[in-house]
Amino acid sequence: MHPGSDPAVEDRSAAAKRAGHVPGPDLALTAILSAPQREWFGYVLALPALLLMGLVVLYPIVQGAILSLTNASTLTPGRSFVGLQNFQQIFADPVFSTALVNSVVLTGVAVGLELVLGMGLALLLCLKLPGIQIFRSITMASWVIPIVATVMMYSLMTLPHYGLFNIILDSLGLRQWDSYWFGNPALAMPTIIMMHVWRNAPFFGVALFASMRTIPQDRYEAAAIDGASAVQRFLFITLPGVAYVIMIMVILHVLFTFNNFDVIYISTGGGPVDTTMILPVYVYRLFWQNYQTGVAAAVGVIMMLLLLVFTVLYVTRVREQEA
Amino acid sequence: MIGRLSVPRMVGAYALLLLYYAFFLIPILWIVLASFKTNSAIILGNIIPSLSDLTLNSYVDVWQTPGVRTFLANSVIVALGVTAISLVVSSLAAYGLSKYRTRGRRGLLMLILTSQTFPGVLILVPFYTFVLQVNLNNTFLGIMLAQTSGVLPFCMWTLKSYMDAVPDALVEAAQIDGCGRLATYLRIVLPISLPGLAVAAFYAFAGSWGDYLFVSVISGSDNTATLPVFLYRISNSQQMTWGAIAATSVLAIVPVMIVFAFVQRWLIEGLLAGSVKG
Repeated sequence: MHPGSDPAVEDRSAAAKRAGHVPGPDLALTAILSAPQREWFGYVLALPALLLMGLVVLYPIVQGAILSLTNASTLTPGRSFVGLQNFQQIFADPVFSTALVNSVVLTGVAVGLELVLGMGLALLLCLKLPGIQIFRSITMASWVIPIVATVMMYSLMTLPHYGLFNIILDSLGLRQWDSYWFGNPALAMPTIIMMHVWRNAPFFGVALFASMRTIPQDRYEAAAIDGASAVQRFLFITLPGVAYVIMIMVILHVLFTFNNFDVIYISTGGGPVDTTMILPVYVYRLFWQNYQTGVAAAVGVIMMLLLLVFTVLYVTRVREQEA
Repeated sequence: MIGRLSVPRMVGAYALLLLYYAFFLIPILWIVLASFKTNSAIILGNIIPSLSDLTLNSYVDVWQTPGVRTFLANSVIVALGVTAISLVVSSLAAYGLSKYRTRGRRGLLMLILTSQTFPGVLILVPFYTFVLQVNLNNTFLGIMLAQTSGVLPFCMWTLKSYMDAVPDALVEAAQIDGCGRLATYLRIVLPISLPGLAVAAFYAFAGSWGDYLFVSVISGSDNTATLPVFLYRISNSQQMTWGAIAATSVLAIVPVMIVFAFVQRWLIEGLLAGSVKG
C-alpha cells in the first residue's frame, strides 16, 4: 500500500483527466495528507509493543551489560565500576568452565538429535497411510505441556525400582543401572537431553513435514522417470527443498536450548555435583544465592556474546526471506 | 511426495510411527496412570495395575491441599491476562507493520525478532531490580508484563504473516468506503487473520501457563504464584506423595491440552508463520 499510488485515487483522477477535468483540490489534498498520516499511524499501532519490549527486554539487556562491569550486589547498596574484574573472576572459576562445556554439549547433542529424529518423523508423516492424519494432529502434544509437568513425568519414570525405565532395566537384567536417573551423575545429563528431544523433536518433525509438502510433486515424478533412487531423491530434491526450514529451526533451537533454565533447574538444579550445571543455572545461582549481581550479569553477557553469531544468522536469514 | 506403498513397506512405516509415538505418548500415559493409582500401587512397580489399585484419592488429596485452588486461580488469571494483552498489543503492532509503510519498519521488525534470542536469566537480573523499584514485585501485572514480553515476538510475527496475506486493495477499498482505520482493522483485517489469532492466543496462553522462571522470581508469595511454582514446591516436599504430584501434573496439563485440541488444526501453519517464514 504505497501512499500516492492508491489505485482508487489514481483511477478517479485518471477518469477525471479523461473527462477533461483537473483533479479537484479535495482529491489532491487526500493524496498529500494520506502519506504522512499513514506512516505516522503505523508507529502508533506498533508503539505499545515497542514500549513493552523496550521496558522488559532492551532496557534490562543494556542495564545487564552495564552491571557486568560493576561490583553491584544485592547485599550492599551502591556499586562502582570495576572494569573487567568480574570476567576475570568468572574465567578463574572451574564451575564456569563446567557450565560452559555442559551448555555446549547439551545444546549440540539435543538439537542434533531433534533434527535427525524430526527429519525421520517428517518423512513418515508425508506418507499416504490410512490414519496418518491422527498421527499428524497429535504430534505437538509433548511440546505444549508445561516444562514442570514434563520434569515430573520423567522423574516418575526414572524413580528407582518402580519408575517405568527402571522396571524395564530390571527386566533386561541391568539391575546395576537401576537408580534415580536425575540423581545419577552418569544418567542425569542424558535424561535431560532426552527431555529436550521429547519436547522439541515433534516441532522439527511438523515444521519439516509442512516444508516438504510445499515441494512440487512433479520434481519427484521427473526424478523417478530419470531413474533416481529414493536416497537420491531425498538428497537432491527433499533436502534442498527444506534447507531453509532446517537452518531456521536449528538456529532457533540452539538459542532456546542454550538459554533454557527451567528444564535443568527443576529437574536437577545443576547437580549431582555440577554434572548438569549449565550457564543459565549458574547465573541464577550467582544472583539469587551468592547475591553477586555484577558477576551474574557478566555471565549473562558472555552467554549473549556466544549466541551472537546465531542471533545474527537468524535475523539475516529471516530478513532475506522477508525481502 | 511418495505414491502408494507396498504392504511390507506400509507395515514398516507403521512400526516406525508406533515407535515414535510410543516415545512421545508413554510419559504422558504413565503420569496419568500414576495419578489414578493408590500410592502403594505406585511403589509396587507393576506396569499394568489391577483394578483395585485404581482410585481418585490423589485428586481428592490435591484438591484439599491448602492453597492449591489459589494457585490454580492465579494460573488462570495470569494466563488469560497474558493472552489478552499479547493479542491486543501484538495484533495492533502486526497491523501497523504489515499494512503501513512506516519508515524504519524493517528495523523495528528485526528488533522485535532479535529480542526473543536473548537469555531470559540475563534479562531477569536487571528486570528484577526494576520490578522492585516500581513495586511491581508480587503483582499479577509484573508477572504478566514479563511473560508477555516472552511471547510477544512470536505472536507478532505470526499475526504479521497472516495480515501480509490480506490484500492491500481490500484495506484500501474499506477505507475509501468510509471505514476508519480502527474499523478497517476490526472488521476487515482481524476476521481474515482469525487462524493466526487463534495460534497466537494459544502460544501466549501456553507460554504463560507453563512459565516457571518469571513467576518464581517476580512473585514473592502464594498470593500471586501459579501452578508450576506449586508443582515444583510439592515435588521437593517430603509430605507429598507421588500420587499427588502426578495428579497435580495432570491438573497442569489438562487445560493446555483442551486449548491445544481447539487450535490444533491451525497450529502447524501458525507456528511456521511465527518462527520459520518470518
